[in-house]
Amino acid sequence: MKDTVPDSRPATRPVRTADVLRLAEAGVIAPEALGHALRLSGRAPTAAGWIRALDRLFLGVGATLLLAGVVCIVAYNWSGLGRWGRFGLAQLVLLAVVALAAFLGPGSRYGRLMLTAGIVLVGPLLALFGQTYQTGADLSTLFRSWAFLTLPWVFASCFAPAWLVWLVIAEGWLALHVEAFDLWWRIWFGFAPTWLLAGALNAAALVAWEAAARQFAWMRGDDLPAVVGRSGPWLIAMALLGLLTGIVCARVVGEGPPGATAAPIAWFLVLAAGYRAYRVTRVDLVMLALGWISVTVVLFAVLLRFADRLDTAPAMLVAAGMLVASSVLGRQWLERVAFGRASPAKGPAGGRR
Amino acid sequence: MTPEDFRRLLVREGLVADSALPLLDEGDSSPWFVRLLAGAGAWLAALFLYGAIAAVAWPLLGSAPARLIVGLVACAGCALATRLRPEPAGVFLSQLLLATSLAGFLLVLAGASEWAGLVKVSLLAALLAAILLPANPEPIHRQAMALTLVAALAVAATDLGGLEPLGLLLAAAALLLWTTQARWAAAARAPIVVPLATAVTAGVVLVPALATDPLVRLGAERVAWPSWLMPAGLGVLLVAAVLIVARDLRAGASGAGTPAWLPWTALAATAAVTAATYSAPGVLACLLAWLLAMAAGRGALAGLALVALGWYLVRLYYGLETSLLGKGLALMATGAVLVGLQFGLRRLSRPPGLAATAGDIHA
Repeated sequence: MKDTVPDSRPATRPVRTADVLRLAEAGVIAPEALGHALRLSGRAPTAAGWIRALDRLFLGVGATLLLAGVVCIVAYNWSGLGRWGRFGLAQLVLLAVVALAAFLGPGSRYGRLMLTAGIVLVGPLLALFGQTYQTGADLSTLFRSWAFLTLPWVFASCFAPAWLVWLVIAEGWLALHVEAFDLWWRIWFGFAPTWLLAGALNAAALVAWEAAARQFAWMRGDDLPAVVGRSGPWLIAMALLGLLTGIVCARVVGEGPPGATAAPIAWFLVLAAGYRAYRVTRVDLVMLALGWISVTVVLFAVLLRFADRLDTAPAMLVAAGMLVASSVLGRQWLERVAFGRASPAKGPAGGRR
Repeated sequence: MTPEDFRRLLVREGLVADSALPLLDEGDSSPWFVRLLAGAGAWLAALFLYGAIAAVAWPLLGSAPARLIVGLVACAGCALATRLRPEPAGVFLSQLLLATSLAGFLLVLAGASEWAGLVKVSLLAALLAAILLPANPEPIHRQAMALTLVAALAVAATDLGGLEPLGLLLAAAALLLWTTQARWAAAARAPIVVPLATAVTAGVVLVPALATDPLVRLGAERVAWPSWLMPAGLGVLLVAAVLIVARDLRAGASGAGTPAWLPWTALAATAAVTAATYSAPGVLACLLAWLLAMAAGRGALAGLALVALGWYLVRLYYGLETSLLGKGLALMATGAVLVGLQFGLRRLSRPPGLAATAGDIHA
């Protein structure tokens, strides 16, 4: 059975402040009752709501200001701190965050957030190490160490955003490694251009993510806001399509890296696989929108390729016309997909399953 | 809470008779990213369309008067077309008209800049924005014009050395606009006043950061405003805001559970925070914006006020007016006051079981 994306149809949309104001404008709610109506709607806090909001504000802003104050004072004394002081401070912060994560527990959302913060904080600690002891190692080594050192925490977190952060670190390592050793890479693996390997890596990451999401609820981000829960696959798809679209466009205008001739085939295969995965098997409107943008950009590049035979004004008019057509057709198609599906009650957002 | 739940709640509370409640406007039902896609397409298309027109008509737009006239015609034409277009108009047409109007606005400024200096052009931009704000009913256009109005005033005030008074004026305007929401909503002025109040609130949180930036003031008039002006003024306005919010809360039907200590405690807390943030008035401005936005039911704006606080802290870190040690101590003192207030609030609010309603969940 096909999985579906939810829509933003009004039957389930929450009441907005503008709705309440409109009722006041229509004279349905008296001006003196507007505040009460806003509180009833949940848009403005009641007395208890104010206490809860102030409680969070005081704690959140107070902690932020305390932290900012500490940062300022540490920065003021940074040059006076020795190696021991600097490392002690960096490790103390990391330890505090991880201890807090352990205290809150890996099952709680804040515990997971703290563990994710710990994963991020390992990077500055390694950077401090590299700055203090000039080993001459490449920057990719830092990212590699970062990725490997934090992998156990990523597994322990059972948290989709932590995996996304780790993926960014791992991609940073591979990108820096390839950048530094690209020539060597091409000599030994000349049959597979760097961009193709990067694309394959992202495609594999996307497939692995979606497969894991079928198995684990936390990988689907069921306990997170919809946009955050699906941000991992969306960002990976964005990177993959962005890379392939850029190389196809470069190829269209006669540029591009080695092996760019194969890029249109890879691009087409990715689009076809994406259509099957996100339109036929299930529906994910954001993925479809990304695909549509990619197609539009490539068509635009083709248009530019041939537009140099025209004068500036007609070329620009043709470009504007193409964009108008693409925008209108794209919107119509996506709305048809969104509203024409069979069961709207499957998932909460953007293709979540 | 869905519109249907809200309808039932209003009827149950006796705020409306069931028959008097009209259906809530359903708005555009497309997912947000589809609307974004259509809007971005329209903007790009407009860029190329006007590129084509500019390529043909550049000789006509070469002179300042021509740019001024064409720009004014574009702004007026778009305002008229937006008012006359069929409802519901698609996102594409709306965005195309929006892009055209903004291009016209920029043409007017480009024409005027050949005759006048920065201050005069800024004041002209503010005047034009003030006219177009009610004239063009497109919501994004209204928000853009309101932001332009505030930004233009900030540019003029920077050049004249009057950022501090402008910051206080904006804060006073934000207080006035948000606390009179019921009146202007009943008078059907919400489509104009909401964007204006939002832009003014954005100005409230941004001006204190700009006021402490030496680069922003490079080449501007030097007016030595007393250092206490901004913190004291913002403190007074924050106290006023707290009193108004507490009064409204106690006066409303949902204020029955409001503890008696709340207003006075809030007042004392505000005074403590004002004293602590003396050397970082931007913190006070962000707290004021947060309070007003929360009370007006503008959760997103309240969130932005907190984001602006983060931005202010970054600006403060790189600012040159005081040493890092001084900033650090001031921020730590403010943080300690706020954490202390949170501790006190928990102790005070523990005993009574305050009725939980939808407002708690939202807050």
